[in-house]
Amino acid sequence: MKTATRDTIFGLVMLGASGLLWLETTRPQYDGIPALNYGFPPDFYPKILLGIWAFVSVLIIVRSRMIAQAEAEGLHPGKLVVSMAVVGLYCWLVGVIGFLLATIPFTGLFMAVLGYRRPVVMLAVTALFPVGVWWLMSGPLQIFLPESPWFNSF
Amino acid sequence: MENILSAAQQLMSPAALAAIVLGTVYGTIVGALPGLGSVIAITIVLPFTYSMDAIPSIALVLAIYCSSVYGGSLSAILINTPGTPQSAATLLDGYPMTRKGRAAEAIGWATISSVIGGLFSVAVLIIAAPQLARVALRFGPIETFALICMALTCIAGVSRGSILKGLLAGILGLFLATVGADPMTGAIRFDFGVFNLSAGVSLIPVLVGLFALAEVFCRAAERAGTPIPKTESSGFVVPPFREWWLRKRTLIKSAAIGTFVGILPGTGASTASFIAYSEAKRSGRFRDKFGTGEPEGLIASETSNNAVTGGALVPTLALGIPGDPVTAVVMSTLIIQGIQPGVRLFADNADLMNAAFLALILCNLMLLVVAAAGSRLLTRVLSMPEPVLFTMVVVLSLVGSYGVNGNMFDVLVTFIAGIAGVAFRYIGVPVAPIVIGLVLGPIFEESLRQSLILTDGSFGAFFTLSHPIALGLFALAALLMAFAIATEIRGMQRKPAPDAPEI
Repeated sequence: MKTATRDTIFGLVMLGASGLLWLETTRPQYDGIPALNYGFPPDFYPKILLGIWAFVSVLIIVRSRMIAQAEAEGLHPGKLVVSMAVVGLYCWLVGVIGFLLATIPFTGLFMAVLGYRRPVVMLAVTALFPVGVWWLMSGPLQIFLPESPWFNSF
Repeated sequence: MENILSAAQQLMSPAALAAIVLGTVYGTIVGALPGLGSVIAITIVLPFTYSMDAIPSIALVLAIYCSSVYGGSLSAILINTPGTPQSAATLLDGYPMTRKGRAAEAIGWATISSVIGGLFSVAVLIIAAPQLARVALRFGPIETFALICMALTCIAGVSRGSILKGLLAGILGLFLATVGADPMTGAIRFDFGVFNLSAGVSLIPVLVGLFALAEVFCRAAERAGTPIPKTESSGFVVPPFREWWLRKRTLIKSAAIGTFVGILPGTGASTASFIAYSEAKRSGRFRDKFGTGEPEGLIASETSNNAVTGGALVPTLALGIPGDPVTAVVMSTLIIQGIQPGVRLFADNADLMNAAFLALILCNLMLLVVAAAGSRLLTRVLSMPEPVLFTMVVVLSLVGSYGVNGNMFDVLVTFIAGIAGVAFRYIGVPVAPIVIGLVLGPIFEESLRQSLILTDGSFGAFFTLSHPIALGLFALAALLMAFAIATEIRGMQRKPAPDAPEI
């Protein structure tokens, strides 16, 4: 994608977002309580920010029309989407089956997604790293990570 | 004197000393690993600080901060890849030294320069921060508002890429800070019916997502095209004093440049090291040999980037205004420990601040010990496979986010921030202003609304001679903005695409 096109799309998205957030501030909860807000209701400051946000977005669109086209830096969308999907799935699984049960398969899978292919190292890291982190957190550091619904201790 | 002795006593506890030693070793390793850097290094250990006492946790974070900046020089010298952006100028003379078979000597120059730069900036911090805090005690809401305006303008203005995108990033950060309860009326804003949003958006999950997760995602997408060069292992050699003496002017000048640049919001160690390197190249004794493996180039870069650490802590501790994402994380650590950086910090926590200063001195000296004792081992870590490393970074980052409040919503915020971080890099939006905006947002809003109440709603009263400090700060902000706009317009005329994706 060209940088100018990319910036135009970004400016339009941000302009749209500022409009939607402005609409949100028109809801009754933003009127506040006059006795408490001294004439500056809860939407006063966000509206200033949204005004500047919209103005800067317009300037970004205008600027994108003025700069010459150049090719934007490309990423491999396939690898990006797969890595995001695996991390997203992991985040969800941590809450459902607990930290330890989710982290063990994630560790192996994510190394493979990133292109690592040494089974012995992968197996060792997959077995030791999640258990080590879990032990360190719930033991010495007393930070209790999400537990599975099937076991009492992890 | 009594305060200092008491602080030293607290710092000599086994927990604090262990924090300094382990923090220095860990920070050096993470700093040396390309793609990670100081923010990720500190965020990974945040969960460890939750259950620690104040002094050990502050010592740990400060040790990681100083050593991660130094650690970047190891990979710059050995594999021609700066571990952190701060060490980019180091490779210009560091790697040529390695190619000449003088890697151990280069590490010696870099280590001692880093220690001297760091100690110089700590001295400035010890002298300047309490004085600045004393002056800032006289700040009212209008002055605070003006100061934050100036800091945000500076951060947005000096961000690489487009000033408009930097500005929008700052606004985004300020806006994110409005989510949750209104500070004056308690009304809930922008929660969209999601209960967890009513408590606001926490800094750490956003920061971890924007930096750590986004870095992992980007590296995953780039992996095929960016192989890490083969690592050389190296020892540590102390260059003779006579050689230092010949380059003393560059050493002193670079330490001063680094400390001054560090104090300015938004600039950071990479800017400092390039300014110091350019200055040494212009005026150094051995300027003709720069780029061919001249130690003076290493001195300029490494002294200045480590001198930034103490400088950057001046506004963070004295005013509660972090100049970059690293100091924002340092500040978060203090807040987690129940310590609010700002004008009252030195008055209310003198013991703690003295301990922090002493910890900084020890951390810098520890760099020397760690490099001398373990540089051969530390440099071997550079050959750790990237997929293994990044997998660990993802897990530890998410644990860090979860640990802040102990809820899964923060993990979700981290993931979303990670995706946003990738998008921002692709579009060329700097993320540092988002983080600083999020940190400063609540105090910015509070000072604005208090100021308007004081002036009966008149913005005009902010710009009168009855508030000379505020007037000066507003003028400085306007000047910075005008300079940034002029630079951008000149850039647009010169080249087709004035911005490039970056952090």
